[in-house]
Formats: sequence, structure tokens, C-alpha cells
Amino acid sequence: MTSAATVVVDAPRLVISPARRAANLVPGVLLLGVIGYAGKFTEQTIAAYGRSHHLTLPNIEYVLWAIVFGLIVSNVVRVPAICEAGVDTYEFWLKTGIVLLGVRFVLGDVAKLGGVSLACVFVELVLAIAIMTALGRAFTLPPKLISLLSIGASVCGVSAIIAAKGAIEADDEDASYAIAAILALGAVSLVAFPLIGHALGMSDQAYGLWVGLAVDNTAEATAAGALYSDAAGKFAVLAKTARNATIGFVVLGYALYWVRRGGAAAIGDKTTFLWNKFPKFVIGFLGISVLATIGAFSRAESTDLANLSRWAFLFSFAGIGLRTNLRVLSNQGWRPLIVGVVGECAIAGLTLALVLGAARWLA
Amino acid sequence: MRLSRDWWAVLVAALAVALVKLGVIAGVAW
Repeated sequence: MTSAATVVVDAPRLVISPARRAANLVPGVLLLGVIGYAGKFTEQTIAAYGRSHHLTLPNIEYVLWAIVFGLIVSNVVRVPAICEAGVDTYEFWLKTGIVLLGVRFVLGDVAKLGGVSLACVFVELVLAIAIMTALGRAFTLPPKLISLLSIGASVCGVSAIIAAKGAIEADDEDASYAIAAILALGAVSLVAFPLIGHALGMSDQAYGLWVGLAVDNTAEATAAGALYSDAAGKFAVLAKTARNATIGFVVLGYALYWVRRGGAAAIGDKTTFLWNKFPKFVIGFLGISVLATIGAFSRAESTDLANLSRWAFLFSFAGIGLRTNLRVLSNQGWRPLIVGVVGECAIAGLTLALVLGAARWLA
Repeated sequence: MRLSRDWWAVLVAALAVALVKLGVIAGVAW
């Protein structure tokens, strides 16, 4: 009787119906849409004003406007609690956009550019891990924080850090330090990378590859690419996706290292581990590329899917600004940030040299 | 079993492809 009564009393509190869960997302998703569209509207309005008044105004992409508007809302007004669940979906929109972007790549492009990207990714992984480990030791950071920073800088930012946190049994504090450092540097890269790319007169392909290799978080890499040009955004996503595909191997390597040192629980089946850590949206991206390659889509259908991908990215760019809290980032302490800044600058410089060296295979 | 965010993204993209192929979604402007 008691247990039945407990079930009856507890059940409504613990179980949220799928419909209710979906309804909880609506306000935040609407906020993402409003802020993203405000960015697009601002870009178009400024361009139209310039045209009608015969003025040459700088073309500031909707990407930057959406991020700035998001930053203003999250840091000045604060994201309303009712919107938080929906704003958290920004990563879902990013991944949906990447899957749909597959329509703009035939498999030959993926094999060629993905092959060059993967070769560069391998070099970048080794460089990033070596640099971050050396700097972390020089600044006497805790060993697991060094591991997290190395994983974040070498593979794919926040997702990799979260994946690794469980595998190497790192503290919450170390994980939030590493995530804060990666996010702070991602914000800087949105401004710095396009400026450097334009100063060097980089091609869309070379710039996209560089961003995909050097910017750690997928959302920021996609945005930094799109800020340069639509084509550069496409190449940045491909290079970043190639980098993301290595997440399982890097996290597994670190997990085995910490198991040997007695700092983490043993791993069971390594194939299952790799599959669990593998970013599944890469499968969707490749699937749509296959369909595009075999001519499954008419020109109009390809345009529709490519535009749906752009709309999905618009939602995720708004989310970048909305989930960035500058106060929290500044409260995280200076040593991990210095390691992050010095390490990321070194990685950006070395990957730039790598991309310029690989440029002959990109043409 | 709960689907991960990655699989949701693949599922929604597949749905979008199906709707575009069926002509339910057409003329998407940017």
C-alpha cells in the first residue's frame, strides 16, 4: 500500500511527458530564431541602406550580429529561465545544419578535401597535445586539467572535454576551467581569424581548412568560417568534422593513460567505447553527401536543403552569444587562461603554416 | 531509450530530406 502510494505520489513529479518536454523548448527556440533573424535583418538593412544612399559600408555578416545580440541578451538582460532549455538546443541546430550541409559536397570533394583535412588533423593533434602538455606543466596546472585542455585544444572543444571528463574521472572544477578557456578563446577567434585571413588574402578553401583545424569548438569554427564567406564556412565545417571524427581515439588514448596511472576506472570493450564517443551526425553528413553524389536531388531540392542548413546555422549562431556569460569566463582564474591563450596562439600559427604548406593540394 | 542530440539531428535532417523530396517543403528562401 505504502509503495503503491509512493509511486502514485512520486510519478507525476519525476516523469515529464515528451509533449511537455517539447513544449518547454518552445520559448528558447523562439528566442534563438528571433535573435538569429534580427542578425540577418540587420545585415540586410545596412546593405540596403548603403545601396540606396550610394555608400560603401562594411559588410558585417549576420553571423556576427546574431552573436553580438545574443551576448547582449545573456550578459545585460540575462536569458529568462523559461528560455534556458530551448537555448540549450543550439548545438542540435548546429548538428542538423552540418548534416544538411552534406548536400553541398559530392563524395569526391569529401574524399579529396577530407583526406587533406585528415592528414592536417593528424599533425595538428600531435602539435596541440605537445604544446598544451608542455605549457600546462610549465605553469604547474593539475595533471587532469592539462589532459582536458590538451583534448579540448586538439579535438573539438567543449564536446571533447565533456566526453573526456567522464572517461578520465576529472573534477567538475577542472572541466569548467578547461571549457571556460576554450570558450573564451573561441570568442576571440571570431574576430581574429577573419581579420588575419583577409590580411593574408587567403582563399576560401585555405581559410576554411585553417579555421577547421585551429578553432576548437564546432559552433565557433562554423561561425568563424561563415564570417569570412559562405564557401569558407562550408570548408571550415568539413575540416572541423574530420577533426571531430577523431574524438573517440584521443579520449580513449587519454583514458588508457589515466587507467595505467591508476587515476581512472578500467575500460571494457574499446570498440564500444569508440562508437559511444563517435559523433553520429558525421554519419548523417556522409549519408546526404552520398545522395547528392548519386544525383538524388534536383537543383531546386539541393538549394532548398542548403538553405534549410543555413537557417539551422542561424539558430545555432544566436545560441553562441546567448550561452556565453562573460562574467563566468572572467571568474575562472588566469593560469588556465594564459596556458590556453599561449597554446592556442602557437597552434593557430603552426596550423596556418601547415595550411599554407598544404595549399597546393587544395587547388 | 533516449536518443542522443546527434541522432536527433540526423533524424530531423532525414525528415527534412523526405519532405523536400515529397514537395511538402519547397522554395526555401535565404
